[in-house]
Amino acid sequence: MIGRSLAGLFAAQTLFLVAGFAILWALRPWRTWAGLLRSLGLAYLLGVAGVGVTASLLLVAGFGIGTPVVVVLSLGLLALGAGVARLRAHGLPSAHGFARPTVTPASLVASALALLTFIVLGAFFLAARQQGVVAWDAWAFWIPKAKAIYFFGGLDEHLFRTLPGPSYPLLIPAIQAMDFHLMGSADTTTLALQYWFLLVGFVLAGWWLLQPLVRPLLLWPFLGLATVMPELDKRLLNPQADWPLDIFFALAALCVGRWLLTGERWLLGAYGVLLAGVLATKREGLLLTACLVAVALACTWHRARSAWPRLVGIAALAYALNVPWRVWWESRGLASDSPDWDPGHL
Amino acid sequence: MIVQESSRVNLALGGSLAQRYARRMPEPRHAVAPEPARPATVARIGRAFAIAAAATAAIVFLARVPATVRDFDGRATFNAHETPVGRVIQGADGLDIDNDFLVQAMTLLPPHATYTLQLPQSLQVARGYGIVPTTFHALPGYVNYVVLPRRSADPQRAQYLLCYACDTDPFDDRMHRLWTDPHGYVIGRLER
Repeated sequence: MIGRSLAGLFAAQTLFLVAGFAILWALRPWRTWAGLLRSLGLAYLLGVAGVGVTASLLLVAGFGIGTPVVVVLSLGLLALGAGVARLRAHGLPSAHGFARPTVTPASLVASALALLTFIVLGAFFLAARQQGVVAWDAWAFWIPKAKAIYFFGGLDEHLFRTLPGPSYPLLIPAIQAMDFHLMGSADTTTLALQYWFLLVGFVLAGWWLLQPLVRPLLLWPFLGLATVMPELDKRLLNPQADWPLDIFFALAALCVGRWLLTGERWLLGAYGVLLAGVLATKREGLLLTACLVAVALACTWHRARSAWPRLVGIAALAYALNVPWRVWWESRGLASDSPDWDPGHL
Repeated sequence: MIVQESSRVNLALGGSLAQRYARRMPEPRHAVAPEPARPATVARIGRAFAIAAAATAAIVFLARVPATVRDFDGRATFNAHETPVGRVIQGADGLDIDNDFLVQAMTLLPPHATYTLQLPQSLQVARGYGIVPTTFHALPGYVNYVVLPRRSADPQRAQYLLCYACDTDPFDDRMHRLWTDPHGYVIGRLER
């Protein structure tokens, strides 16, 4: 059963990765195969966000998200991405792009830090491999929602009504339910590995997004530091929504930050997909999105006419993708988790 | 072409980093608005700050690695020594929920059965059975998490009773006891 679960979880991540590569391919071409390989982290997280948001929409529309649906969804995104890439004349890489690295003292230190980071991630994998669920919110509603989607074939209004946080967005339960389907059972002890994959994706995506701007020697200490933060294991090994939210938000912010510096338009597409993920993960995502958009607007005030419509338009589109879920729970009278605006409750 | 691209990135980034990495950047689709070059002093201060921050991060990272790996190793060892069922109900230990009760519930209730969970009538009564408030409040949610896809139902319609030190009197005449425990835990099948 453990082998089946592990294989299923890997299969799910592969499908997310395929979908993510398609999204990235539609957004930008790769010049080399090495470049494609380096973008693996961001592609994976774009895939998680893209598939997660689409799966949330399917659930609201009354569909289940069984294995065939997950496969069709991922391959559908691949076909869509390939179609858009073709229309935009984004061909496949024409060169391998692998070159012998230049060995300098700085590159050796940076490589050592990178290696150490991956050793830490390796130890993290072993810890996450058979981790039980201990966090209150995880067993109180995140996993029960995922189990309900898995066992009952979709959104179960009656069960959602009895759980805390009934109106919380669906991305995390949807991803977990898809994992369960691919694993062949609701194996909650293998689920922590999903979060390990997210962390590895985050480190690789952060490296890839920043490497044109920052020397490896300055970059890897921070990426390494991200893997040894106090409490990181306790937070990541409990299948909740906080860390995925943070990961999507941080990468959306990096995309906007790099776009501000370089003007590469594809980054705004990635920013949009990640923002949709932020908003579909937790209600706090709305506040984080507002903060990110406000900062981006402030940074582009001198070219507001060209930049603001894009920044605001993409954020509005990301929000619009999450409106159907809001309509679903409001139409069924599920309790809102929004803060009480009564000043006495502030 | 490369010269053009390089100078544009230089304008945006300033300093030698931009020169170093400009060749690797894709051509922007639209021109970045030109900004005045930063004074050399500001660039130097910025560079010094970045190097100091990275050095600090590297020191903290290197200092934290051994403890982090030790923590992960300890957790992996702990998890490896648990039984598969023990891992599934790992959270119950922190909540002081009886493991046997949960295991029996998972074993005795068929999938898709309905159940009613009955607790002591009050926190005061619960204390008499050694049940702390955290356990009392966590039980409905935790049992729901563990036994899904079995659903909680109204006591009149439920097929099974999960009694955690409850008063079984209202159920005794229509209950077939499947499991009992000296602490007052009972699992029974209910006749309608």
